[in-house]
Amino acid sequence: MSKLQVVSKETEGGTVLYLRGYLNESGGEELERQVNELLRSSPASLTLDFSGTAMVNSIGISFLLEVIEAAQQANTLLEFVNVPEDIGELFDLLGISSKVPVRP
Amino acid sequence: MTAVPASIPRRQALGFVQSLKEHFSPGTRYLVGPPRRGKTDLLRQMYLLQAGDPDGPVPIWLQPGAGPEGEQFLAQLIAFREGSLTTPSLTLDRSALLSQADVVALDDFLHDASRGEPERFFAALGRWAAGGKPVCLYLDDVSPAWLRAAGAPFGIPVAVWAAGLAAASPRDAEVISLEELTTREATLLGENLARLAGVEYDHEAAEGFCAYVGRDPFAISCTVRCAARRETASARALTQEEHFAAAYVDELATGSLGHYFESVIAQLDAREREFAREWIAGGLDARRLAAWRHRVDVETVLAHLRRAELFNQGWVAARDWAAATRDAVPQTARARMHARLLADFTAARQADQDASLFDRIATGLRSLTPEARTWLAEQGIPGARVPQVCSVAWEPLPGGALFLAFGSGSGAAAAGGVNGGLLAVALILGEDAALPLEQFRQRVMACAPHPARLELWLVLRHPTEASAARAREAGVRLVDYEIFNRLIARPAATAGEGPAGAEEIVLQLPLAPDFEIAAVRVLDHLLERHRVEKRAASQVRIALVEACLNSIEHGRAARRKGGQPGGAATPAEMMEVRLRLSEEEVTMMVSNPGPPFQPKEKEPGSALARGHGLKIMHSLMDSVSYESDLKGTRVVLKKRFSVSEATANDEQATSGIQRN
Repeated sequence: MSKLQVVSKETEGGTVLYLRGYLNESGGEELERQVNELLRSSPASLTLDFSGTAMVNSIGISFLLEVIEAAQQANTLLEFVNVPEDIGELFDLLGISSKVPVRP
Repeated sequence: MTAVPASIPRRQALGFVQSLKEHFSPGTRYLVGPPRRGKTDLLRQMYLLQAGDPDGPVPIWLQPGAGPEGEQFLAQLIAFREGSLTTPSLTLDRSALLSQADVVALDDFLHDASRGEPERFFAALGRWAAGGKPVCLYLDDVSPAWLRAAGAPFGIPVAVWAAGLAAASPRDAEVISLEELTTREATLLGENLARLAGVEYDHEAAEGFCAYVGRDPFAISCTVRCAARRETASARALTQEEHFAAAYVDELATGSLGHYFESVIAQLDAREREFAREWIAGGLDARRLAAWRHRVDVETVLAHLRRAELFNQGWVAARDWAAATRDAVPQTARARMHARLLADFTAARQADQDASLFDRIATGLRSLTPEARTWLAEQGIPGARVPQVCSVAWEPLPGGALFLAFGSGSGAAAAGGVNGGLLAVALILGEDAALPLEQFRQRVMACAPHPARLELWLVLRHPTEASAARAREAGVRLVDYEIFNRLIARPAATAGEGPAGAEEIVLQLPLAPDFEIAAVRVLDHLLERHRVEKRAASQVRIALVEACLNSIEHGRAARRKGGQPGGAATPAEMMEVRLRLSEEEVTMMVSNPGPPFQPKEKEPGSALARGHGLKIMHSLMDSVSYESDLKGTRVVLKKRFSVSEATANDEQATSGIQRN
């Protein structure tokens, strides 16, 4: 299982961050760093794509919660897309689905 | 604000009630006392005084224990609007004139209320019934759930007065006990009642009676009635035991004891009520007891009467209301009768071996073997209709037992499956002539968590074509009795042994980040070898990751404390991961040599986000336990699952899921 790579792409709908690999503590730190950098320009929207995410642990989820809060403070519409079923179940369990749109 | 006393002496009750008229204070007060102490009467006095005061709070009376709360409330409400309300158990006074639109909206809402959302019910009650005025809500014979809901914020000032047994006292309410009559008050009441009845009041009997059952107005009036009856010419012509039976029938039909008794047995079905009346009126001889045992569950009925404090556990004991008012019967006759009944009943129970069988069946249901599941599949019962992990309870049914198997509910189940729901199995060992299908259905519906996740099975030891047809009509799946032979025939596992075919692997991994991945890779290999279903495998994998993270955090903390920032891990800095897997279950043990585990507050962004990890483990696994000793800390996770099955192909039409 590879270390998390966060790849950014600009699309018509806004910026998409592709999370590939294992979202653990180090991956979460990298994700948070990149998101905070993007949020400086107060984008209207930001999408996290989980299609390449092999696994998320509880530490990675705590970083996701930080990202959600930062986006809310920046008035940036955040959504999670292509979320695998098992990761989606974790999001449901920990209340992330109630804070941000989560799409399979 | 009126100071509410901790207890109310009966002689001061009226004064207390009148004082409430002057002061209104929101809050919840719970009036406690044994049955027949007079709690309901006191609440009614308070209600009536407020009803007569147009400038005071709106009094609303509700008796949730009398039946389906929502439906009763709606019926009373409609009757009130139509002007046909006569003797309400629920009354809306003065400003409770609702429009048709309100009634329709309330009807929709009450269907939710009847499913156990009393909080919303009370919130709507406050808004709709009072038109903004303060409300004084009277709840008679409530359950703690209703009382907690009644204490929720309304949005308008609401004072709640509730009555019930002391055992149900809620934590958040002021609890007031209603005291019994003093000796002088009981004597005065008895003398007054006897004078009205035209009989001589037996002070000695009254004293003995009060010592026996407590000084309740109820008890006093019953004693006077029996004494009055003894005076009649017809009563003098009876034998002592005949008089005993006649007195009881009469008392039950017309007296206050009868009213109370009828309210208690109203919750039983028709046959059980018939049995209860026969028992309390004249007792049971051995022949009649034997006859009744095959028609009703005698123990269930008697347990119901015990809960209402109509008699005590030992049968021949205090607070046996039926025995208490038999003071008209010589003591020796009563003692002989009770002793005989007790001996007959005890002998009958000792001869009943079914209870041990039911326990064994429940154990088998709790952990179905792969062979049992295979057999069920061969019978045409898809795996989705059988819970994966069960907590099983059983209760007697006439002629058998009802088993309730609650499936594992973590996460969403496949559409139509019973995991997260209920498998209810009615087993009838005797003749099925009196098949209690409706009783079975009613009992199950009362605890079915969701209608889409309910499966009803009927198992008959002596099936007939007629019973099979009845089962089909009732929408209950008829399962061959062979299932229980398979359930009770499974070999008992000896201590320390895992399930047959279990494979165990032990890993020693460094207490360092990302080594949980190594553990997961080994686990994936085992999960695939044992053909564990995909979703269950995913849950187990996630839980293992969290357990390993837990150990790694402990290791890091210990190393920092010991001043060892780096270097190769020593044996004291390794975690042991023990994986034991079979087709039935997995047990994972993750050990580390750290200090005892203590969950800490979440610190997002750092390694101490343990709150999420704990929640994940507890939610995805069937059990999570922690063990600590001088050697270190170990977390043990367990989960049971079925063999791999194509759940998408298991969707065949079933006959077991219907709901009236």
